[in-house]
Amino acid sequence: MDWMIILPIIVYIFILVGIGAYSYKFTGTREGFHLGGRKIGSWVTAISYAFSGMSAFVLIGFVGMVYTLGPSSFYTLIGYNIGFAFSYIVIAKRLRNYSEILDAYTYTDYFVKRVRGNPHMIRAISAISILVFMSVYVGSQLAAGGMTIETVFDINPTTSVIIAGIVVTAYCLFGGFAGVSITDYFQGIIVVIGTAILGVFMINYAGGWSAVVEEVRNQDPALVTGGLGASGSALLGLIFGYLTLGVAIIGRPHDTIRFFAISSSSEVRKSFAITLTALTITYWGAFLVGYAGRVIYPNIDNPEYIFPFALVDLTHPIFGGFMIAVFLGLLMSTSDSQLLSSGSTFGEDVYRKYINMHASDRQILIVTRLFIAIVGILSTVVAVTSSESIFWITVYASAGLAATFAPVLVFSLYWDKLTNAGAVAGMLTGFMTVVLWDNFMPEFSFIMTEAVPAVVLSSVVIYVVSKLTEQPELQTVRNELQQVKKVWKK
Amino acid sequence: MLGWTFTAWLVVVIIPAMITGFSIIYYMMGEKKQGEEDEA
Repeated sequence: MDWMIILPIIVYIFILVGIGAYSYKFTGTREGFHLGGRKIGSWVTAISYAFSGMSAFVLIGFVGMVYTLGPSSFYTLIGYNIGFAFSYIVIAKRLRNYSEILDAYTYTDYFVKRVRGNPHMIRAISAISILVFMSVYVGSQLAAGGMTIETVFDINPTTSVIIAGIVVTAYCLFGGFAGVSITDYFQGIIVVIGTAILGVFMINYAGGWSAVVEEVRNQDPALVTGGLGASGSALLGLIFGYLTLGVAIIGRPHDTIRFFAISSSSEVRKSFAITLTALTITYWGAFLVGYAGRVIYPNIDNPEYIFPFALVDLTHPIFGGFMIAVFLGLLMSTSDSQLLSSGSTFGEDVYRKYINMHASDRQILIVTRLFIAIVGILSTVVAVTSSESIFWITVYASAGLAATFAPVLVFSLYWDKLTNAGAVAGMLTGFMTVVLWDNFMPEFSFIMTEAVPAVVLSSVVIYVVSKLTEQPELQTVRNELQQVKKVWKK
Repeated sequence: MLGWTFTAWLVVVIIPAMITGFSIIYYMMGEKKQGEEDEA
């Protein structure tokens, strides 16, 4: 154990706790706790949106993919960037405005108020989907955190994951949304710069760009091409398969909720540009880490360990410690957003609506925090027991969330005839398709993500069922849809 | 070119840069439109 590495990590955790304590003052009200009072600016929205989505995926999962696939791994990220562009252009502004018109604090609350009618089924499906997929998702972050802690502190993997689980859950219990957003911002900026520095450093360490390319070519000539050496329909299949992963990032509750809180819908475009710029720089840095990793660690058992290994073995201990702190921060930014959206779902949508209808705001906050702790424990169990790679766990959890929520979200922002029955049927179809697809047709998961058939089927079901039923407040919905197109400022 | 095929450069550098470039142009067009609306 090297104290030169550990010291920066401890200092960093103190800074995070300080930010959590500072933002505690925002959390006295429900709107404050859940949405930071809808006063979050474009920079904070952009960076926190980007990194609450990308998390461990970039530095652990994606680095491992680069090691295995070379440049072809980038198809995934192109798919993701298209998914982000869709989210910003099609969803963000309208959702920001509509959530305020409907006075909705949580994702589920938005759907219930938007479609009118009986809310029970929507609440039930949302709560189940969020509980199931979010526990898996947070589990993947904790597993990645465990890998890092294991490498640095040289303690066993299970203890490492449990430590990660305790730190993340405890942090989220304090800060609420403002805490989450501010720390995401702060960490996101460090991640962009730190990853780029590490990537360039590793390429130099491995002998420079030309030497790295030459060595990779010697290992496998397909890894210096953009298609794994494939051509024709095999290449098209590969491209299609990875591009479709972008579908799985649309409409996920933990990052889409950022759009509720942005201070003005005029900030949306700026936020879009910042998100994509920051992410692209980070992807490039992570790519260099994985590519140089192939030369530096040619026989590594699990390439998802390259990032922590490189920091411990190759860099100056203070830089290594700082970067590990950055990485743990990145994990926290995803995990805490996800824990928060689970907690909000239970506190607002289940406890307030079914268990104690006269609950005070304070009681609800207590229940929300209690539920955050429960999901934190569940996720730790998932992380300790799972044997899948971080990359594929993340993809699966994302697909489940996107399939449940994305189609109905888009219909709700553009189509006045969407009905309660249509929304319920669509969400159920999306959720069930992901679960069944993965269990009964596992071979197809490698052709394209489960999210694609799930989103298509769900959209068809939403349209058909809504056509067969009737929206009881059609005129009101039409007026609201006119309103959401405008620019709103808080 | 620098040891890589054109498709590798296309996938890793050119397309991601173009998508990011698009987001920046989209933002700047919005700023202009916003300015015109404010003046009106």
